[in-house]
Amino acid sequence: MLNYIWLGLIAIAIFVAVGRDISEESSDRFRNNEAVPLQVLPGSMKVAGPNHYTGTAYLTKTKISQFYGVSETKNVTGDTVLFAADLVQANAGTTGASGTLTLTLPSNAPSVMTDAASNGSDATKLIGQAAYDTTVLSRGGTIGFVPPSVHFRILTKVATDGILKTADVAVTLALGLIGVMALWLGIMKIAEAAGLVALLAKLVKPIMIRLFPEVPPDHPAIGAMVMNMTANFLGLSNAATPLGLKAMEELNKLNPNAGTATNAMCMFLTINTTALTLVPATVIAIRLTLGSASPADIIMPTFLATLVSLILGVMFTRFIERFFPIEKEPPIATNE
Amino acid sequence: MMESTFVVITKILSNAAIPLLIFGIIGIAAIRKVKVYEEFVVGAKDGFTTAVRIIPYLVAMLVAIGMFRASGAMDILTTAIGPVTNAIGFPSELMPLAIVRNLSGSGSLGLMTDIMRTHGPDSFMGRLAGAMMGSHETTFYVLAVYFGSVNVRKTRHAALAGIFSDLVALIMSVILVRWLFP
Repeated sequence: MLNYIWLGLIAIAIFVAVGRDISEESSDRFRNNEAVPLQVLPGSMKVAGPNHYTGTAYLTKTKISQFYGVSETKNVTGDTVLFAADLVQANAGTTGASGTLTLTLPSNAPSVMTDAASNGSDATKLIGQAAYDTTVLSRGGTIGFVPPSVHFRILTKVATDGILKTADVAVTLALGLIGVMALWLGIMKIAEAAGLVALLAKLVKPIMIRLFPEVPPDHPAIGAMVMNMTANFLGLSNAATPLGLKAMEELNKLNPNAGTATNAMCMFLTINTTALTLVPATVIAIRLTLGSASPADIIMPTFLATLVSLILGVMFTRFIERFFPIEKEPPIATNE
Repeated sequence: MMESTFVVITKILSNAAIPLLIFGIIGIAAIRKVKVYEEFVVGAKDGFTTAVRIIPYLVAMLVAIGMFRASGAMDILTTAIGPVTNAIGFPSELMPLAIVRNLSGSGSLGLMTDIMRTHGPDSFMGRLAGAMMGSHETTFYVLAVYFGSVNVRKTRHAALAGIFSDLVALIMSVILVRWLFP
């Protein structure tokens, strides 16, 4: 099942990315290598140094619509879009001048320009080549601005944001668990030695033997699972994960087919993913900061919703487990 | 901003729960003459190996989800399902949250905060977003981490069962928020 979900996510991602890229290429959405007719008012560009000018350039909504098409003006509020402009002049002849122009995009910039900018190193700036008459800087007029060309933007984004960054995040996340993991596994060991886990397990034994018929009632897995569920219930998600992993380890000791999930493991995960919580502390905290009149009134619907999903989830898991038989592994290790 | 006694108690409890729990366990153990320090160190030793063991599974899962989001497939999916969910009384603005909730904890927290900020925390949308956030778990993260820790690759019906439970929680959230806050 997880195989198909995984493959599906990746395949759909690539398919969508390529599809959107091809559509952008074929419609030439970014008008690659064409000059945007930026407008400059008389005196709005000031001398900031030798061959260096700063000031404001603008585009009217009509111009944007003419150049990029009407669909790109959706994000444009007001009639004009003002850009902070920074121009470094490279050549100035009698016919015209050229240089490098950096535009800082305002919040109402057309989405085609923000998308082009986010393709570069700084998502707020467009840096490109400008060509203009030398008189424009003092008397105002039009600057032809050619932003860097954009090709296969979404595939690039999938590669950098989607693949490389998240791979890094996954490792950071796992390594970040080490401290809490060590802490709670240590506390768990103390609770075990003091007989607390056994006591707790004994209390809920009637429920546990029905939920996990193949786990012996005095097996350490029961204690670990009870601890995990208690932590989840109290909203101590930091503690719940290490205790849950401990429970999986114990359940795996009862697993005759290493590498394949047992019914007990699946049942335990169902209970875990329904997240029965007494107090959804994070949600309450955020509602409080946003000025809710009674931030904790969310407890009732949350609790009842999870309770129903827990009961139905457990019944569903028990019902479908027969349709997913355990495939016996061949004695020789497969190359999976 | 006035805080009711109930909220204050909830806040104190959620802040004090962890220290009190730790103190309680160690205290009882000490009374029962358990060598608390030695036992702690023995247990804590496994923290590193467990964390490292889940890395491959976490990388696999998060990269697939990351690609799905970066490609814009997530947005397309939510806009495509929107009209269908609107018809059954589920606001399409909450579709992204319903999907992201299963995939990423921090992502869904951001979405929920955003919805509450736009519509107000005490609006129907704000309450529903909160109930959805509280009654769901990041199913795929849990599957990857839990099965990863014991090297289980054939997960059988676990994913289906998790998705089913989340769907039930989602439907129940809509019904309950409508019913409790008319």
